[in-house]
Amino acid sequence: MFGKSPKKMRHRVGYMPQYLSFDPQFPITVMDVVLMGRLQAGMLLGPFKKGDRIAAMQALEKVDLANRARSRFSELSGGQRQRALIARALVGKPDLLLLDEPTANVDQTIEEQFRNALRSLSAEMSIVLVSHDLSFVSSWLAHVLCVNREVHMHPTASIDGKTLQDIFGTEIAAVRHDHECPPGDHVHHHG
Amino acid sequence: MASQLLEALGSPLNGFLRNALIAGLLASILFGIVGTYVVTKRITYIAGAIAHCALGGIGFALFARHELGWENVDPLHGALIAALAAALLIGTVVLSRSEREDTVIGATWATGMAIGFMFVKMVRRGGVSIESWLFGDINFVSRADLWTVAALGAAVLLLVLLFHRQFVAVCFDEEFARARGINVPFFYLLLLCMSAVTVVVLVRLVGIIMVIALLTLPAAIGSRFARGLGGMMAWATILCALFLILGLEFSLRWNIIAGPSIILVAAGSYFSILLIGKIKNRPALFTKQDRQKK
Repeated sequence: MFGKSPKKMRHRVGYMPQYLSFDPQFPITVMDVVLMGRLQAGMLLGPFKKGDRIAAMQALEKVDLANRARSRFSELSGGQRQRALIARALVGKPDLLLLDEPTANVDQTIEEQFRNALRSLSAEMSIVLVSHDLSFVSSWLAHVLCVNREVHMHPTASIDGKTLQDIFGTEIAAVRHDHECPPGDHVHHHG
Repeated sequence: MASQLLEALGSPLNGFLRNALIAGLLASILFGIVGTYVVTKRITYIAGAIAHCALGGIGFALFARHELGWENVDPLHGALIAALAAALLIGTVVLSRSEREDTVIGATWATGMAIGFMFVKMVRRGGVSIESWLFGDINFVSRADLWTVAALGAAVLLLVLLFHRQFVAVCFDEEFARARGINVPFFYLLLLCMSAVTVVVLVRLVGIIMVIALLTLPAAIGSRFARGLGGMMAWATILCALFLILGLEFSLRWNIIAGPSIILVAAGSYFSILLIGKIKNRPALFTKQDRQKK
């Protein structure tokens, strides 16, 4: 990764999990959640510095949440939480942003906002996004990697009926193939 | 209403009470801080098992002192070693994710107590009683214990000052902490060891069985009022000190044993606040910002 082992380059990657197993009673401010993104393996001792807080504030501005920095994280709406977690992934100034099912737990309006936020970010860094929702990804991403035992890479412009059939069609055919039994055999077996 | 506690403190005969109060107030800072981590990381039961395992060390230390003639062995040191061993054992098994967590906790809990009782019952000399260790006894808190409390407290506080950020990340979101390159297993074990030390600090005063309540209840109440972990620690520290003072006051006023008196004050406050919260039908109290919006 970036020409070195992934462990060494971990600090250049921003990561956002699919779902935060989050305790609603956990008292923590939005600011403190975002600051976690400044942690690194090397820097061990002492509190966060002023520079960390400024970076966290800038990340919050990018996702339009700067006015909620002092709020309790549990008071945010689902979409705001999602954006705060993106800010946490952004605050380490990553070159690569990894998003695991970022819209799995939010409604349509939030998904739309989220998409716009990502589109503007994609100018600054590479974004890799894992999703099961093809309509969500295909409309605005540059490339799609389809992982179904094998990995296929498609530029999104070339995704048409034919490609979709390749992606899903094979799978459906495979299932049918497995379960297809000549009816005669079946009856005979039970008879 | 004159305070029996203030009156008793004024009497020169009450050196032990004074020691108990000083130890309690010093330990409140520790309990507030470590209790906050324990509550938010949801390891109350692990901390409980660690506390009960301390009995194994106490039992062995009493046995060694009275039957083997090891004059320099202090039960408090035995408690500390046994609690740290239990913390490392449970922590390692939990981290390996190979066994059921609650079963391991229960097994360690019972083993520690079994070892403790076994050794205590083997002591034939000196009229040793285990009861004061189980339920606490303020007449036990000596000046030497005060120094032990202060030294252990200082060590834990230093770790908190150095690694608070890492502890917060591990408590809030282990997966993300790992992605940032934080050594999660190390900080998890360190947190358990800090809980072990903290629990031992107040074992003299409130006893092994109930110390876990004083560690977690002030923090649990604090989490309902505070907006961040720092605030939760401050709330927990103040509440812990308050419960100790009120508990000692009631203990003197109505001649109740001190440990249970302190714990009942803490538990009574906790359940009252839960109840009030339920009546108002909201999970947490609103913050200033919310009120301004309305």
